[in-house]
Amino acid sequence: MSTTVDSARRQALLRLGALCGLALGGDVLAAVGAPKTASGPDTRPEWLSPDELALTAVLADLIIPQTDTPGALAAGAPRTVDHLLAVCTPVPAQTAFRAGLARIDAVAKGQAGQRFAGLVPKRQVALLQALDSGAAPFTVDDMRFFRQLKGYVAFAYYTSEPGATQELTYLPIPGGYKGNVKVTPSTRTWAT
Amino acid sequence: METVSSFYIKSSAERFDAIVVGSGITGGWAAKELTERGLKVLMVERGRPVEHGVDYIGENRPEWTMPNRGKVDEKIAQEQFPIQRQCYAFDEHTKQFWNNDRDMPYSTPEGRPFSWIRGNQLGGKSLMWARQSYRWSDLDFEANLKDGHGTDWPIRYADLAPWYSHVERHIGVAGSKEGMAVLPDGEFLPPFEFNTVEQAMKQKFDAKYAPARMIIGRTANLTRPTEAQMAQGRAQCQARSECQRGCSFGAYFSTQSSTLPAALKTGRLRIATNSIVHSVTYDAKTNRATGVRVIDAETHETREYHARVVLLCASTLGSTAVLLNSKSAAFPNGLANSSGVLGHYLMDHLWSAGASGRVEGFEDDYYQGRRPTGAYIPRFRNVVDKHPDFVRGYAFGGGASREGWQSAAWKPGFGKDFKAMMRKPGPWHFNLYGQGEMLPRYENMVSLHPTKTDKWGMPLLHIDVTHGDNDRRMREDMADSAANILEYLGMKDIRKNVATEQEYPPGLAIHEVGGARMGRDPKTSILNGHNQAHDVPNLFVTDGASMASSAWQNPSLTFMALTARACAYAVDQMKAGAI
Repeated sequence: MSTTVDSARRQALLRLGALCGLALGGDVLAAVGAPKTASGPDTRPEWLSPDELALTAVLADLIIPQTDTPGALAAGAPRTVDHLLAVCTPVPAQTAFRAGLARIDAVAKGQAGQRFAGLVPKRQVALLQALDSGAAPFTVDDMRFFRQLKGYVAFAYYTSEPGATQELTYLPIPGGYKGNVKVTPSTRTWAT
Repeated sequence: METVSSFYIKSSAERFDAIVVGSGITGGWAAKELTERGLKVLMVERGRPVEHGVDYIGENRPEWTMPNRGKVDEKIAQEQFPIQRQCYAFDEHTKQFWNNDRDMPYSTPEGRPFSWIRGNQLGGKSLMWARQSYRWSDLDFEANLKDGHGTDWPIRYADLAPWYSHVERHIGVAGSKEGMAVLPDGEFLPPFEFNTVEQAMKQKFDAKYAPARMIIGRTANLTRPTEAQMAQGRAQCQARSECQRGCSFGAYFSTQSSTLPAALKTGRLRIATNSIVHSVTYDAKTNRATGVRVIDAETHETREYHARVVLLCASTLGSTAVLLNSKSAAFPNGLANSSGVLGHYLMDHLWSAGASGRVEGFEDDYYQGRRPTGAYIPRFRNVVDKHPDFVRGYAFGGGASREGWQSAAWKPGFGKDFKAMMRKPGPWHFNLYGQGEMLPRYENMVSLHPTKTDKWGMPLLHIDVTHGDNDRRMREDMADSAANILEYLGMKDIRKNVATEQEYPPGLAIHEVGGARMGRDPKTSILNGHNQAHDVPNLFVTDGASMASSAWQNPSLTFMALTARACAYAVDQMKAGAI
């Protein structure tokens, strides 16, 4: 891997880290040859480890990217997922989430010798495509985890202010119910 | 107008004309009717005060402003609300309105769960109810007599019809006039609209299944408030469908929005909150209830209130519990229980059986607003034909909607295309779920636990309710016929579901009724045709405890009509000097 790629990748990760309020550390940056950054006490995730939060952020960014509206990162989805895991998730689902993340990293290491966050985007996308369809080396259980993850990220994103009000249409006080509204090119799903 | 708070009392030596125990759907109605008829009334509520608007702390809060995006802290839910969290309406916006299961436990037999969903505040469950409002017909009032299950109702539709009208005019019920014998029309505000898919399915359904018909659900939301309703301080429904959080518009009926303002306007209502009724006090010499003994929820001190008449409106299980705990030499097994049937013949609606399917086409059709009701198919079983497997029947609730972002987890893909797909409304789905009549059976009962008590020293309730054979067969048919109907209507990917009693325990329909049933014979029932105790003439029970059968309709409108009628009768009896 060239130094330029490493540097660009490192910058991207740091940007990503900043977006989810995270001082990146550990293996994620080690994977792209970055020096270890100290994490401040206020930026520690609530339930995930910093590396797990970073991986969640990479995945969230791939699932709902920035387009003409903010994506999952700008909406703070990784932090929201971490919070909901910490506060609103029963232990078995917490454990399954952690195991699912670890499994993605394990497959990435097996395939490319690096953790998922350290792979080039093209490689990440290819792995996620396999994961999304349960194709080898992933299993049906892995696919189920990815569906669960998509559910978490979608929930965090579409219940966020940008997700609800910019990406979808949010109508706090509809004023009444209309049973027949025609879909137009500008129609978007109701946020609630 | 004075604020609600100036009507609160704690101790009082006054002898009121009437004490109303409970402040929910029936307590509010009793307070309104009795005060408007000139009585000085004390309303006794075990929970805290909730002031209209001010205390709706979950209202007008988009998810991104909520600490947990609308989800309840798992630790709190597990430790304090293991039962209440089973209710669809329990979330971060509403959790302040529910009973704390840790503080107010009850017991059930091993392997026979019952989910008791409770409100615990002024207004009770009227704040979180589902608002569906349907009249009964004589098909329902005559059912016990005709098939021999349960005891004959001492009233018929004609007795209640004017009271249904009286209630509907006050609370406001949006609905369509249909002229169906099984579901009498009422005094309706304009109905909510069907959406395009429902409209199409209705036409197909009605043509095939006449005289059955698909109608729009009748709901206590103000589609176009009358002047009288606006005078209660209420405004038009804004179609937010967030009713259970409380509605500052007062657009759905609750005690706070509707009956409490009416009762307070008379100047004759006093309210004692945080007052847990321990028992009804009773004077054997005169054979009269004299008032209630209460335990202060906060200080645990006891006090008494006195009145000429006592009305129990504390909910089906709440009122039954108060009677069971009101023991005396004359009534060692509970007040007004010479028959021995107090606590028996508990029912709930049969629920969580039905089907759903995907609708093809209609990609250009959508809707706007969140309609606080759905499509509805009134009872069609055992109306004309006789079903070989079970007696009585059920209604279907349901309707059509398009998939939103909530389906993201089940959608393949990710990235820009995935995001673009979620931006557009997804496929249409249609579902039909049954709500069936559960037979009254003696063995379905509630009693006081012999040893266990709560933190106020009140005996725990022991609730033992299971479905019988008729109930089980009906639930199977709900799912089968729902699937058949959806298939005829052209749906794809039809999924049929009958939840087990463990997955969806009795009680969770939150239509529990019975326990102090009405009847013609004092030897087999607690109350007469005016919700008056056979044994104690100045004691009334007007809530769900009084029901001799469950019928298939959502019960609250009938609770209200029974309450208004009983109150008019009680006042007449008082004026005549009979009580």
